[in-house]
Amino acid sequence: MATLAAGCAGPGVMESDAEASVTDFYAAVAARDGQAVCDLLLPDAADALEQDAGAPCATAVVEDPQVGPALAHRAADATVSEVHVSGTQAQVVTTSDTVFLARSGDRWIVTAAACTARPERPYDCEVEA
Amino acid sequence: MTRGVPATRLPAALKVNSLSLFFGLIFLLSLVAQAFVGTAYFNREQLSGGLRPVGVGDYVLSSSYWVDVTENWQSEFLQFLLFILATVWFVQKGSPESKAIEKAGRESDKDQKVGRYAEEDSPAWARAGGWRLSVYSHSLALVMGAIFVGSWLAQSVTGAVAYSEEQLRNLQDPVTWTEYLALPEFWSRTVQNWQSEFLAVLAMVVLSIYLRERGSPESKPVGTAHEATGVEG
Repeated sequence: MATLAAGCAGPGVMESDAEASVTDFYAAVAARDGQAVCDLLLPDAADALEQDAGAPCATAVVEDPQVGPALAHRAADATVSEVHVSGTQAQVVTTSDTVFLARSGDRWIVTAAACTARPERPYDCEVEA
Repeated sequence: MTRGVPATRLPAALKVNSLSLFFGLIFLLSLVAQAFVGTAYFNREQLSGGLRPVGVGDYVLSSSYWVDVTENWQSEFLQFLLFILATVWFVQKGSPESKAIEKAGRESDKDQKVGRYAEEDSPAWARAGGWRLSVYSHSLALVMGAIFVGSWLAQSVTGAVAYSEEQLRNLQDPVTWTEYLALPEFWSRTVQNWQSEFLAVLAMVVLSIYLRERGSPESKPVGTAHEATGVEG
């Protein structure tokens, strides 16, 4: 049944892939590589970011006065502590963030980042679709 | 034509097993159809979320598919389990689904052809006595019950994963299996299936008192009185 939870590949593989995507995502944020950050984002989330910031995604994730510092702050301490994979969706908890991902094709992409928990409601995320 | 089977015997083999073959075939067709329409349904959500669609092969390995399959399996096997057990003691005057009123209960060894009343062609464990007779006397309910429990357990496990997947899609925390067992989602999936199964049995038991289907063993013969009980066509 554990295999069903994660799809064809073993659950360990799916979890480590999701973890790797978050590690890459925050490594790109720390390196201020906006394009690499946006390549790892759900296209709808990148579009929403562009609309809110009024700038291309690659610029917004680094320079937007709200999103840029929110991501940079979390990138400073992005040690992964928990990974949950359920089917095509995943949640990776780091020391400073809760990141949501979705399986698209053969890779995990970030659907929401810089998230804050709210009781009984969805997380409030600086980056989301 | 299957190689090695005499041409004259194959139609006979098909005929004497046609009821099992018919239901086996429509079961498989339905399961395959569910896989395809389920994939299409799942992919609508994937595409609307800006994600790539999944293939049928991936979908049939997913919890989303299996929770839908097993929630129906558990309720069907529960229905038949209860029907098997309830009809030991409960009777319905006039229904071909009930045995004769005076036969309510476990019945005598003679009626059941066990022990010293076993016949030459009785199953070996019916003649054996002891624990083998006890087990065999309840083997149908035991197996149906085991499939019910197994299906319900599978529903709970796959349901927890499918529910967590939906939670994550909505940027909410996933749930553990034990948390899922206490959620309305699990019980809603369960009970909505149970009620329909129980209604179907009730309808069969009651409607077959007054209505007929000529030639069906689930019906009384067309000309049989409404009051006649334990008579099959």
